[in-house]
Amino acid sequence: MVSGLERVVLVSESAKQLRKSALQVRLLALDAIVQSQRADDRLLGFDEVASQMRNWSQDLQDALKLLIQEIGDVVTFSSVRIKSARAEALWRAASLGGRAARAGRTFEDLAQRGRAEESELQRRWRRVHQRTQELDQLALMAVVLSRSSLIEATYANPQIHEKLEFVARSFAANAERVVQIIKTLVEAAQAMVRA
Amino acid sequence: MKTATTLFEQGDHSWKVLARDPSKPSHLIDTNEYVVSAGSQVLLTDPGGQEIFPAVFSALSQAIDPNALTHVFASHQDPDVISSLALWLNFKPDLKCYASWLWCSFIPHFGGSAETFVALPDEGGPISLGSVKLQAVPAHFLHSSGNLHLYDPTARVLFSGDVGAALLPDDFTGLFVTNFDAHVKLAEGFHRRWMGSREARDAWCARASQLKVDMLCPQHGAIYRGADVGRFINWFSELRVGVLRQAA
Repeated sequence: MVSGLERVVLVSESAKQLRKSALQVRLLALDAIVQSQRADDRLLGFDEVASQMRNWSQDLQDALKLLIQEIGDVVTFSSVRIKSARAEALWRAASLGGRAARAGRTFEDLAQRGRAEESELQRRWRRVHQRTQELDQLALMAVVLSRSSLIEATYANPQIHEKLEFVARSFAANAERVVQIIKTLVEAAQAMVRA
Repeated sequence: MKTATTLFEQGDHSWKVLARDPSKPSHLIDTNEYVVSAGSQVLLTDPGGQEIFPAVFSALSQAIDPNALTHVFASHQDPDVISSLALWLNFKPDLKCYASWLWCSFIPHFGGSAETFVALPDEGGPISLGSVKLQAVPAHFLHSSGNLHLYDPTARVLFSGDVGAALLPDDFTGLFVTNFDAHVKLAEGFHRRWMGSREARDAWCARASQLKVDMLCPQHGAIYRGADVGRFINWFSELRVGVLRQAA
């Protein structure tokens, strides 16, 4: 397969799921900030973790925006490559038998251009791969934050403990999902860089 | 990139439009692509020329999972309608393309095998998409000699190909017709020149007025909705078509 458009779709579908998780975490964080600010001083830690969760959600959305831009470039370069590969195949067929020397030369020129396009496409995929690695850092951050939120929730008084523990567990579930999706993304981009 | 906007949604049945790409080179005519989803099947109308494939593909990826795409519908054979077919087939080799029987041996010059095409008869007919029954509606000679439109009686949407098209200025960003009288001025020259047959125009107007249409969705320009649909049919029925320019 020349184009890798199916991997483009895998990346963009994963990005959609991550965007959903980012939004859910943002809402959870806002709720947690309100809850913890209503409570006593012992919840300053949870308040801080909730603020970090909100920042994390924003960072994830920003990183996804950049990833989508990169993947848009991959679509453009893949399209160019598909068109050229089709033209190459047609010129190759025209040059078979050796009677049309001009067709043979055109095919060789196209094949050379094709190799240049292929390396440009590879360069674009490497940029996508780089973006997915940045996302990987955010996945690690999500795991750390979700653990911190679970610990901080234990300091809450019995009235709001249940509520904060729910927030912390929901965040942990989202973090787990995010880690899985990002793992798929990194693998998809890595496969295209290696291909 | 083009923007995806939902026009109709009821359960798993929806119409979305992919339109208005600010980065499109001005030497290419602007196009609208419509994405009809029903259950697990998705149909894309007039998927566009190969130059705009990246913009359409990226917008489609934002709107739906492109793996769900099962069909394309080509209203006719023009390059701005279907020259991207080979690119779509590269992504989805089992994609089916609905087109007038007249063009089913011409469009394969853009790509596709004998299995790709589903030939539609001159009288049109039903097209099943998931649990939804769409209707291919004859629009021959408007402008192509084998031309079909696509009607969805549930969504009350009529995809009208080049009928209703308008050549909008580059800075026009709206999706819908908001001032009918001003808008038809942008549609007039196009319809006079491209629509060559008065008989065909009369037949289409008679047919379209029998359909319940909330939105008339052309391949170029803005979408007519509500009372503007009827206004357009009346305007078109009175327009002098098949002329190079209006007599002084």
